[in-house]
Amino acid sequence: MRLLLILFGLSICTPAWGADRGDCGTVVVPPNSDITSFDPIFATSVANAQVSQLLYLALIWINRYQRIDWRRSLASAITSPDNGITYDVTLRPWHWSDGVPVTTADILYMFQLIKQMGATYPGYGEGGMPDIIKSLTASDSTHFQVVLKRRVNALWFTYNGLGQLQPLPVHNWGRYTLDQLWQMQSTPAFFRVVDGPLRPLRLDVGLDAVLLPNPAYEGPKSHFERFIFKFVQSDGAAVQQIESGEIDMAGLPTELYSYVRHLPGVHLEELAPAASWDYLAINFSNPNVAFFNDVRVRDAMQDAIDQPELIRIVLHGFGDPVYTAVPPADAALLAPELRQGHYPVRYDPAEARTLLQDAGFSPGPDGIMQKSGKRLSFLDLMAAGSAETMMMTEVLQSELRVVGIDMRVREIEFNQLLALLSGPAVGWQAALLSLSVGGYPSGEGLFATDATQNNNGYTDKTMDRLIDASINQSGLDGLYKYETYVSAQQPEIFFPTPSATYMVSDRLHGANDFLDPAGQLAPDQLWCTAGGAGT
Amino acid sequence: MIRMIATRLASSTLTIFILVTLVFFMAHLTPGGPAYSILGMKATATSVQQLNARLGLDEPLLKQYAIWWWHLFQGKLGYSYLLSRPVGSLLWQYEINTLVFYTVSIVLSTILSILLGLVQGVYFGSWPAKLIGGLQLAGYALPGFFVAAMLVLWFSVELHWLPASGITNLREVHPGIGSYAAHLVLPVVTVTILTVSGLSRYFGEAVHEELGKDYVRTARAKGVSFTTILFGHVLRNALRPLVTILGLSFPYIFTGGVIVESVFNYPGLGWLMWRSALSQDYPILIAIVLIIGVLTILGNLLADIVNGLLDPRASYE
Repeated sequence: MRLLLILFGLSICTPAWGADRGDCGTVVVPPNSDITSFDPIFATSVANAQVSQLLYLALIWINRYQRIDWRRSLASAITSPDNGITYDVTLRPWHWSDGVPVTTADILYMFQLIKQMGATYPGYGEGGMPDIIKSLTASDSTHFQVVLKRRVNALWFTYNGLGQLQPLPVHNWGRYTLDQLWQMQSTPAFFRVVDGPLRPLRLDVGLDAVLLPNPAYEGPKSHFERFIFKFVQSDGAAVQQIESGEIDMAGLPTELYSYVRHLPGVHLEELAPAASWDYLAINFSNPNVAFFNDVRVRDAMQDAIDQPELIRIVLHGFGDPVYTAVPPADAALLAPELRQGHYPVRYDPAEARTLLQDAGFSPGPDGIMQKSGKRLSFLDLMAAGSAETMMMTEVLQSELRVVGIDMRVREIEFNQLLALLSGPAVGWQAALLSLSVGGYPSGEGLFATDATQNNNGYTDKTMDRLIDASINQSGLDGLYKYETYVSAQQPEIFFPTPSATYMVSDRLHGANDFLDPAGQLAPDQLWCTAGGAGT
Repeated sequence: MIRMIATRLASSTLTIFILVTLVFFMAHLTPGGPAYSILGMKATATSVQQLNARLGLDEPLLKQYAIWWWHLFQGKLGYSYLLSRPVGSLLWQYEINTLVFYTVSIVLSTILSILLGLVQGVYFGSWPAKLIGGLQLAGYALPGFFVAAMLVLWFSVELHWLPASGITNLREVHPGIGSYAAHLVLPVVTVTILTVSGLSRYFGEAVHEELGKDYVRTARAKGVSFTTILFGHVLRNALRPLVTILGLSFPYIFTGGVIVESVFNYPGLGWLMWRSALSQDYPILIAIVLIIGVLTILGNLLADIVNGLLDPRASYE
């Protein structure tokens, strides 16, 4: 039976253009980190992925409702005739900015680049890419077929695997080696042939990237002359600059909420739940914190955290509780009982203390639980620089202490933190991190034994089996069981996660439709009121 | 003098060699590495290993060190890991900005320091000198980031008179010289406040000291006007310590101030150094340290030469 994947992605209707949509002149928006590359195959950060998606259209655009928006996708249809092994993809007629048609040769070219890059490809392993693909062949210029080595959940591969493919201009790039492409990834002039809505004009790394509308773009037109990503180095600077009119929108620094909400000419927009989640990674391989291996200790930690209260106090209500490995933006993919709030864990300090006593711990003289003379104490590492995270950690610290868990905190630079996580097991005990996953929130890269991002030694045969089922069986039952088990096991301690809330200049409209929580940008959605060019 | 210059340059080569060597090894031995900065949360042991191989960071450290010197002898400063550009061209791009910023700041600071120092020296002990002294102490005690933040708060956020950051108005398609100048005002004022506070005090002390010397008393006894003595003799002699300090400031003209450039997001070498240190982009970091070392030595040398011209009795041995 042919499974029409189009069913997964109902076409999204867009509102008709209003007659009063004015030109914005220059729109200035800060990325969440430096832009260092325009090349999608080297995009390791959200900022680089965002800018590259403005230049090169994705094969499929997964929207905030976890559906494919075909209007914004380069593919016009994806079918799986054998329900999970073979995928037939049709491209819609499209052209590069130099007039050359976008063809399946461009898709095949990108796939070759991914294979060449191996583990250095940022999406390596996600959706099984690229190793799960047995063959990728083009029948003509607009149709190609992907055959996998084994049958998998079609939704999983479509969202997490196929979703990574996008055409790159082989007629323009094909003569360069991978190393040459690497060296030119931040050179705007190299990216003169694009098929997305914008093209790069200038990049001053660490400062700003100036983009212009692509005049040959065949999709909806943008309502501005220039689009600038201006890097802003701190929350305070973002507030200053939106106040002085230097930027048009920026993420809300919740620690400055009381000040920001009264700013004239600026309003707040809670765009959508986040497509990521915050969590405490715990090291299962470090013998000094072997107590993490006991699920009762992990559940007790989660039971000690009053997530709604943290959201109220620290995030001023702009956040969502998270108890399992599904980002708030993917709530539609939560198991029905979890969607209704029936998680295996919940805020219950009394239950937390009971769990710890069941695990053999008893209160020590200082109130901290101990077992065989060893205190229930660990060191949490966190990346330096975020006042919001620090506030969150302080509240968390006090909540854990209430049930007898001692969490010490140390700030270090982010790249040093990452190096410690990949280093010897005894080098770290716990770390506060944030993570985003593909459109289908399966855990093969996170919690499967020896998974690419499982560098904390977590291993559980039941988890492995459930992950396999979630990606290899059709339907969503496998995913639901996996999510529920993750919540019960807490292989990492999930935290409340800030929502995508923005400070937006009053002159700018359409921010909500412009910024998809998954990080994709739709620049055509931005417009300004008449006289709001602000040049 | 030529012998002095040759001797100084020869001894300085060893200093620079030691400086660069120390920075090279300290930077490489710091936990983390550029691969983690590039890969971010996607960093896994395998991907880090493969990226390090691509960047040449899997080679033994001594070999990397030797390669760095070999490239330097060929006139290459390397390739930025994170910015994917040759370090030489990157430095030049940011150097221009710093050069403009600090030249204006240093010239302005020097003129103001001389004016304030003259007043302070001439009116030593009276209320104008005391007022200047108080302002000097206040300016000297304030940290640079605080001065910068306060200026931004007042002139950008409250009054909307001046831009808070960057180098031009991004909303202008073709920013004119006025836009550049407006963006320079607050950084220049910040550096000037901080520099004048110390420099003018030094110069004021020197003027006061010179005014008490025998040659001034003799000249006045001979009927030479005070203005002639002040500008014809005292100024020249009092300038010597100022020139020495300015010589030491010389590297800042090229390397910028990390804090001030960072606060104002001003794209100069100081800003670039700060970013490179955070992301462990070794080639840029080491190149800037090399520049700082060379310029510090050249600045000292230049100060000695100028002092020699101001006072031929100065000995260089």
